[in-house]
Amino acid sequence: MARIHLIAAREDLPPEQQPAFEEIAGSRGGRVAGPFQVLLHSPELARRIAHTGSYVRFDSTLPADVRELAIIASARANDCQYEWAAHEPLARSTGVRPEAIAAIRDGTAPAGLTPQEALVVGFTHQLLKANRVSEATFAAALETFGTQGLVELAATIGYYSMLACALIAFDVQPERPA
Amino acid sequence: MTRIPEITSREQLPPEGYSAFDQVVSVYNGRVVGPFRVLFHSPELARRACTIGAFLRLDSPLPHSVRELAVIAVARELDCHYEWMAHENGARRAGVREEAIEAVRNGKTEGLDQEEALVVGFVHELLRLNRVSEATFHALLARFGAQGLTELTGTIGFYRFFACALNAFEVPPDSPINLPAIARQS
Repeated sequence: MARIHLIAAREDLPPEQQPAFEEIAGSRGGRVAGPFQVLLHSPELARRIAHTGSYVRFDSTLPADVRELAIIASARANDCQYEWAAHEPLARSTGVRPEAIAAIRDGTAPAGLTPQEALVVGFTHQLLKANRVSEATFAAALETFGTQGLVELAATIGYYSMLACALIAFDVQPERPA
Repeated sequence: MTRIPEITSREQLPPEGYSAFDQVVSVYNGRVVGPFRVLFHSPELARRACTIGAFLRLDSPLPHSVRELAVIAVARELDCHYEWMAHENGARRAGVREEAIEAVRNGKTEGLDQEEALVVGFVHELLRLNRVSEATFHALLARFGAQGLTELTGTIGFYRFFACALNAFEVPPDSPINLPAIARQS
């Protein structure tokens, strides 16, 4: 369920717009996920966002577990149920500790987090909730991830917060309970 | 002061980043605008992200005044000084009323007309409350249609993406701005 028709099959689009659907599906193992099912109401916008997302998701220099930790921390900060449901399993499979996932989900973080987990979660939380990052957190994050890595961390948080806008505005529900 | 070195010329990049630099800069008539001064530390990411903004600014049928009103509302909501600086005059040029710019600047709804209040309220609900009421959603859909509302939502999301980069790295505005601190309650 969502607030508008979800474009879940290429036949939902007129023929001249189907290449956007196919490109997105092709970049993600044949699947067009929730955010793109709404964004495809503007096919060229959807295509360009997905292309950016492919970099964030598949080509970024960040370690996969750091990326997924930042994504679930963003989903939590933005109360985005769909994103949480979609990425909690990916966080697990990329090696994020179950204790860290639970602490983020339950809002008890940073209690129970390792220093590096607390750094990523704190950076995400400060950026999304306070619109700024403290000197101490910034300096530690720069030391840990380097300049390119930290730019990509901020971009990962920004990208998933962009998707959250679409998911929340159109009330896209998780495909399984979150 | 930006917290990392700003990239403002292609020679700061390795040669494999040159084409990304040139492509982004050409979209902005030769200028390196704030978000890219940091995003260029990841040139391919910068190149791809730039295509989203180019679509929204150049190709989206959304009225420019609506887009620019949404952008300054995002800048206000996220306290993003660079974004406010870059778009206050853009909003004016696109025809956003002076009274509306002042209301957004001060985080107030008084003085907004019905459509302005709808757009600014949408930004507020989306970014501050993480939910959008049925009434707001249906008024937006009736006004802008499915494609228009998707592009309005994409605009808010994209300038939120930019604001994450600008705020994380504290990219300062190029010229002084007036964006007073405001107290907020969710």
